[in-house]
Amino acid sequence: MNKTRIIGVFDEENTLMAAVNQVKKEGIEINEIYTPYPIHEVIEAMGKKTRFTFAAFLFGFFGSAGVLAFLYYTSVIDWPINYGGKPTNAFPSFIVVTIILTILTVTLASLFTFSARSAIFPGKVYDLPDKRSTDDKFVIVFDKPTVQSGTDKLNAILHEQGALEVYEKELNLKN
Amino acid sequence: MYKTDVRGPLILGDKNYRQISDDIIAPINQPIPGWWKVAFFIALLMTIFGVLALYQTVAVGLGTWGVNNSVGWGWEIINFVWWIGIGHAGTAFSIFLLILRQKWRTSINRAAEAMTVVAVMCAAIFPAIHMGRVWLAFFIFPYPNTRGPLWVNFNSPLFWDFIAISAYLLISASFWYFGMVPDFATIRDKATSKIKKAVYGFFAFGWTGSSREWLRYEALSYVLGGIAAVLVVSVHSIVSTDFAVSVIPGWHTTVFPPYFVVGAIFSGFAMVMTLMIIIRKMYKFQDYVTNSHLNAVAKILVFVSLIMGTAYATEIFIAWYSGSEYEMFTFFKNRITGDYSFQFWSMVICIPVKRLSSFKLDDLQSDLGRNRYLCRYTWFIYDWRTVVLQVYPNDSH
Repeated sequence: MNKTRIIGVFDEENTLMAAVNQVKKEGIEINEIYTPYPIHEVIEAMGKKTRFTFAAFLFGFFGSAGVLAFLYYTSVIDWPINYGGKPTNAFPSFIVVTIILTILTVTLASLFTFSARSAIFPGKVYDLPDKRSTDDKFVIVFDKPTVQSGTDKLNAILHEQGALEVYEKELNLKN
Repeated sequence: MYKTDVRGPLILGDKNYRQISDDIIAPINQPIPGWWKVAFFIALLMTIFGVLALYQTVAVGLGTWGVNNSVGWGWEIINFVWWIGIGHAGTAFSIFLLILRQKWRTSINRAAEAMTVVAVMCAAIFPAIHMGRVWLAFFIFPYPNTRGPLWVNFNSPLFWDFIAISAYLLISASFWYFGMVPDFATIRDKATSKIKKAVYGFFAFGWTGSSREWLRYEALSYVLGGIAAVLVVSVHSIVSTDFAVSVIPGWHTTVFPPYFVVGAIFSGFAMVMTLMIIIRKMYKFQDYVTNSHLNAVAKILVFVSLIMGTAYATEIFIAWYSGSEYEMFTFFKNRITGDYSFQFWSMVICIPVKRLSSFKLDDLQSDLGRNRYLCRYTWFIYDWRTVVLQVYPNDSH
């Protein structure tokens, strides 16, 4: 949905963080922050959490169980072969294949989860507030209707904290 | 951001973020340089030669490689191990240093990962050819088939190899690609031509660099990093079982898994360094891949070479301690004092001693010389180990 957004552009990570802290202190809601590289303080300030690691654990758990079940089915039930009198359910020999395929499962499932949850896929139609944010600028975006009462105040805070530019733009973002 | 108290600046020249992006993207926007075309032409000739050699192998048979009834693997295992070893170092470099939060890795890791993907593809050729009838190589896929269904032998190291290489290729390629997604976005947003924008836009998957994306991206990196670290160790351990489960003197030993993993890191780090020294010189990246980064790699190499030295000593000790005349012959008669003594002593002298005596990086020439030396000799060890023991096993006993 197209909405008017207020966009603040910063040159440095520390000026951005100062602005983020000040804005939060004033109780103004930040819509999103765009940075050229990951900044942990920004992620923390946005108060978002991910259950990605737990999902990866589940992929691994079910992956290894699935692989072991497959090996048991093929080697013991479907086509048991006598290799020099060794037991068909040769668990130690199965460990290697299980480890590798578990890692493969976790990797592929994690990548799909990442793509799905972050909506990252080829040919995606996206709206980038300021395209300099993938290069060298740090961009903070506010939803204008939510800060309607204090637009001037917000402008003042952003400029005070060292924003290079503050401008308004119609954007179709997720939120 | 990129200045640390302990290591000093990660990037020289006091650059701002814009300059960093511009400098790194520069080779994409410039016309292809002459030296690149020459290098590409030479590589192309070598590829054509390789294809012809493969054609010869398939058309005439594996006998062209000196493989016969008593020699299961010949040149292919040398090539296989060499390539997979080179490949491992790329991942080891990328993953271990990511987990250890070594920021200097970022100047080199992308190139190292690219090297991994290509090296693993090369490695995959050899087990496939080794199967003999390469056009039936798909039999190794464990899928429900019309041959019974006849399942593959899950107890066989050859099958473990297949699983390991396929998984390794997929995982290292994904890790490499997803690492590049934010960079593609940078190039997309800096591109001036429409075609470039569309192409890089496609590869960038609509990346915007929002905090939501970075949050999950970071989580993904550490999850993949954590499990790929296990993969590096396990895949090369599996490769070593190809040797260790055979009953050939000098191969039938339990020291192989750690020995191979360390050997792979040793030769591969040397390869990473060799490539980076050329790349940084040709693309003028000395401010990004600094001498201090290469020095850090060199220090890892010194440490790893000491582990390798210990592994060699262990092998020799165990050969003596086992009391087996075949082991004794292989190590003491054949290698230390026999036909292959020159190669053996070159290895002993050149690898650890050479590394210790030339610890510091001085200039391009010595960097290159030293690393070529390392790569060549590490290759040589595998080479020699295989040729001596497999192609001519009957000469020895």
